[in-house]
Amino acid sequence: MIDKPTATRNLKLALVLSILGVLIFAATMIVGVIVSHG
Amino acid sequence: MLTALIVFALFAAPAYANLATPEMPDSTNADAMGNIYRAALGACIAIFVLVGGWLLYTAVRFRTRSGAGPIDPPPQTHGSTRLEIGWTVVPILILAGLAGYTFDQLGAAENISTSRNALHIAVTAQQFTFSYTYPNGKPPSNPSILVVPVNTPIDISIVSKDVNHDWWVPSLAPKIDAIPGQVNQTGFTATHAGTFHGQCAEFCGAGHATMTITVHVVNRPAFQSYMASLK
Amino acid sequence: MVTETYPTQAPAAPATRSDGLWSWISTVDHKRIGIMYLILTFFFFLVGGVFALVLRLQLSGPSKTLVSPEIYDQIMTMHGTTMIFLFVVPVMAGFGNYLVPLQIGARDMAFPRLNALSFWLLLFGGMVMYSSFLWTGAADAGWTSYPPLSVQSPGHGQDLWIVGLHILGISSFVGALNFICTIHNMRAPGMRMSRLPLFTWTIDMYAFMIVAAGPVLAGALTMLLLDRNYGTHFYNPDHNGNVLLYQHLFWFYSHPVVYVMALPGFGMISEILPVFSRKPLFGYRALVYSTVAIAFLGFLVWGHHMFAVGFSEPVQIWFMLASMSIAVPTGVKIFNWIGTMWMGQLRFEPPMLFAVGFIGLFLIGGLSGIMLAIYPIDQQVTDTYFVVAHFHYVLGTVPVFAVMAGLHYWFPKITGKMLDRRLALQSFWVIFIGFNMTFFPMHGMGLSGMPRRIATYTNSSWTIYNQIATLGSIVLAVGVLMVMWNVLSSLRSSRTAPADPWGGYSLEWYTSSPPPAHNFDDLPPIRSERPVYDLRRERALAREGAAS
Repeated sequence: MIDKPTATRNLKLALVLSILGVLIFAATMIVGVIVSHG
Repeated sequence: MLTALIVFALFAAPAYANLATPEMPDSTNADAMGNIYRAALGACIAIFVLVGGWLLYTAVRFRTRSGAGPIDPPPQTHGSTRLEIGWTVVPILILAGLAGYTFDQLGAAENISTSRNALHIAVTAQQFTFSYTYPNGKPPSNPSILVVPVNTPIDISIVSKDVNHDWWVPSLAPKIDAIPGQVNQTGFTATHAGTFHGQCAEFCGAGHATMTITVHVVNRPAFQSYMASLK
Repeated sequence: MVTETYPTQAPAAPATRSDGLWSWISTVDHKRIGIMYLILTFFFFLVGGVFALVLRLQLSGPSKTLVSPEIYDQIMTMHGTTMIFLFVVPVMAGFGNYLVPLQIGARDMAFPRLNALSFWLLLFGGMVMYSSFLWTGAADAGWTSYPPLSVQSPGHGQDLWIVGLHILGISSFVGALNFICTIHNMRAPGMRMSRLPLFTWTIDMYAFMIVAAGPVLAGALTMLLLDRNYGTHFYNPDHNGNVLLYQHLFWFYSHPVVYVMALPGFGMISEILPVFSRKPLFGYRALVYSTVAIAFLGFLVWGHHMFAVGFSEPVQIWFMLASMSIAVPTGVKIFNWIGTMWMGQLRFEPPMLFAVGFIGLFLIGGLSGIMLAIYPIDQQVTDTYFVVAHFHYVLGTVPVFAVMAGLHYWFPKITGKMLDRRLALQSFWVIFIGFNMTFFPMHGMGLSGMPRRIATYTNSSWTIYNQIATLGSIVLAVGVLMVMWNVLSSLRSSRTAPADPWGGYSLEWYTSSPPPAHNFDDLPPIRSERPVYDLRRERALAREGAAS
């Protein structure tokens, strides 16, 4: 099993990257809406 | 290794014959386009011979016979900053040279004509034909054959009624997409009379392969009488 | 061949793990997941390859009617889609899954269960896409799926394609998270980033690029799905939409994805060349920097796929210059690879043969890429077979040579068996000849005016090129089957592999072949990018010292 500090670091990094992914997706959709409906 | 070389030469040879040049427009910008192409091809062939040759030489020169007994390992060189700088800077210079030459030829290679005596043709692309309209609002007498005069700047605007298409006659002009919702421009000045063929060059569905283009380039008097005959 | 075994390692006999089907289905062991990835992606390679053979047979002569244009378009679409999304992108995840924890001295990936999920989503996504064949037909708008054609395409093929691709995107994104966390948080003591094996470095870049670019594709595909089914008009110019919006978004992802595919292949080459040259990797730092440079620059060049859409001149010029500039770090890589071989003692075992073959053929693709970057040239040859030649020489060489090199190199580690050496060498030559016969004539096809994605043609001057290419594709297929046969028969052979059959440098060669479930009983000291080499050298020196 992984030690607690490493597990925490993993979760934090994974969370940051996931949020980044969602933000990029949202930004893409927003660009799409602006270009086609703005 | 030798067989590989022979095999490779066999395939390389046809490319390095005159088959190595694309169908060039038979038009006034052809020379400039051809110059850019030949410069790039020349640089690429030279680089291939040099780098590929270096690779081949290295592979042959430093190979060990399998089964040779344990010998001391070779010098364990980790790298060379000088070489890194060298083989970063030299490619940059080569590319800069190519880019510079391209810019130099780009003006002559541009095909959008703004000449006042340009003949404007409106091209409409749809699944799966191209249709043409002359300045007098009439289509060609044979709707699938575009007739144009030689030695005259032809100014083409192209639209699409449905999906993406691309009007491409290799011997006359570089390709241009027909994109629904916008009007694209291209143009050429044909330097020889004759019949030139092309086809749609942007995948547009099941009939894509059959969406052909035929252009008749005729001398100017013939074109005048052709236009007069269009009712 | 180095047969020294390390006395501190447990023998290769399996411990208490079971081997039944359920143990594989429920596994969260990165090695088993890696193996499942390799089997599944190789299966898709074969399917994509069969599609290619159908295309090649249809085009082997003018006006053939082997398949209708409608079927041709589905097969053409699914050939590209399968090769890219179901083979090359995930095969790198497969090797990455197997090797990265071993190379960094870890016991498993950061998130073992998420890792399993990535694999099952790959299978599920592929099944969703392929189910379309059994329904109203597969997607048929090309792997690029441009609207308006892809919006108008009737039936459900396009929708299943989009949904399947979304599932694959999640698989890939989640896998990327796993790789990044593993590489950055789970390295053994002493395994600094500056000592990381190149393959692991490239998987790190692979993962970052997927995280940055994947969501953009997801957005583009979502808008396509909405336009197709929910009355939106993102891409419909009749209602204020924009057709080119899709192309920009699509290529913003899809250009980086080619480096996603290529960089781990480069990583494999960077591991294999030093071992079989008996030298360290020449220019380790330069190779790392150039990897990062390629990954970054790859995001700036997407417009070179759109040189015919009517960009303004400044935009064309930007994309031309940016695209040409990628040749610089790529050249740095090639030169450092040859520098690794230079003055070495080269052993042309199968991995080395495939690796050297890769460098030569990739060089050809890179050079045709420089030509394509120059947009006046591109406007002549884009959307012709010249481009098909180019991308097979840069991208087709990655699975067919680089991954083959990796397969032959790591097969002993993964399976505990050695491949048949003679069969491997023979299959290399068959593949090399077949590959060039298939793709080199495509340069000529394009230069003669043959466009892409045509189901048939009437211009008989193109026939000879096509005949050679078709013959070549059959030879290539034979070569691939030879490798497959080698793999299958070697699994049942008695040629067991030692821990380190090649004299390797990185940590995976320290443990047994195959490794125990927990990977390592202990680790050697890690003081350079070649810990196993350092250990071997220390022991050799100690032996000499004791003998004198």
